[in-house]
Amino acid sequence: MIERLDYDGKPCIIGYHTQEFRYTGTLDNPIVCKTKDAWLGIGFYFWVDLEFAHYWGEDFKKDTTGYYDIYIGFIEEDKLWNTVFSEDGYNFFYKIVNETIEQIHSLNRKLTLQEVHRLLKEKFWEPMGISGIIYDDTPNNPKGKNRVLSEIHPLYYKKRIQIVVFERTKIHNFDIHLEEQC
Amino acid sequence: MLDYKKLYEEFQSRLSKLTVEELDNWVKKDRVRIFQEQIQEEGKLSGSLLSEYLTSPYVEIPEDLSSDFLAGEINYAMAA
Repeated sequence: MIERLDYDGKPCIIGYHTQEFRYTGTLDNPIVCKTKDAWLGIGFYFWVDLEFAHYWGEDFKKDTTGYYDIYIGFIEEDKLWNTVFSEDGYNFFYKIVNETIEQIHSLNRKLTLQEVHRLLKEKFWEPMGISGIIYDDTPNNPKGKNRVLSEIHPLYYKKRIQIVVFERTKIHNFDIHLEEQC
Repeated sequence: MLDYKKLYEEFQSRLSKLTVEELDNWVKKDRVRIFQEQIQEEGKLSGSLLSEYLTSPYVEIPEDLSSDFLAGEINYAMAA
């Protein structure tokens, strides 16, 4: 569920950012995801549900120390492209991704979907003033984990929602929320 | 609240102006960045990443990128 608040008169969504626990202390800033696997381009990735922030830590963010930290941040909402709860937001997002792929093909080039999203971020979203994207994917009941997200496969009624934020200035009150989780 | 229809029209206008030269330049810059990121993170380029770029049916590497650029990146990675 999305939690909202006003920060300095600006409507914000509460986001959770998971990182490996650090013996050197907590982070002052979120870490930008720059890997080729970043789904929607280079940016700061947040979960809107604490539950999924924990899952991310358990699965991917405790390899070195055995623990993970969850940070909290208030994300300005006014320039976020909402593909999850806005019909227009979803429809136009879908059209934009498809038309970009078609245009690239018309130029006799092929890119991976991750590359298309990185291109969109740099050549379109940012120049158009979009500060990030709210999106969701299908969760699953992972093998070997004590998690049941739905008992009716594949009806996952719980959306796995993330926000990618392109601009650091749109994230306020970034701070540690839960430390040294395992 | 964003005006999605207006933004979509702006997107279409921008997309229609995307040239193959601009796209190729962006791809080169992007791949350099991805390679550099992996070198910084892991100290080397993984064989799987190179293989992905060299053999992926979805990716056609421009000739100048696939020869000199990759050779340079591989040498740099091996020296690191």
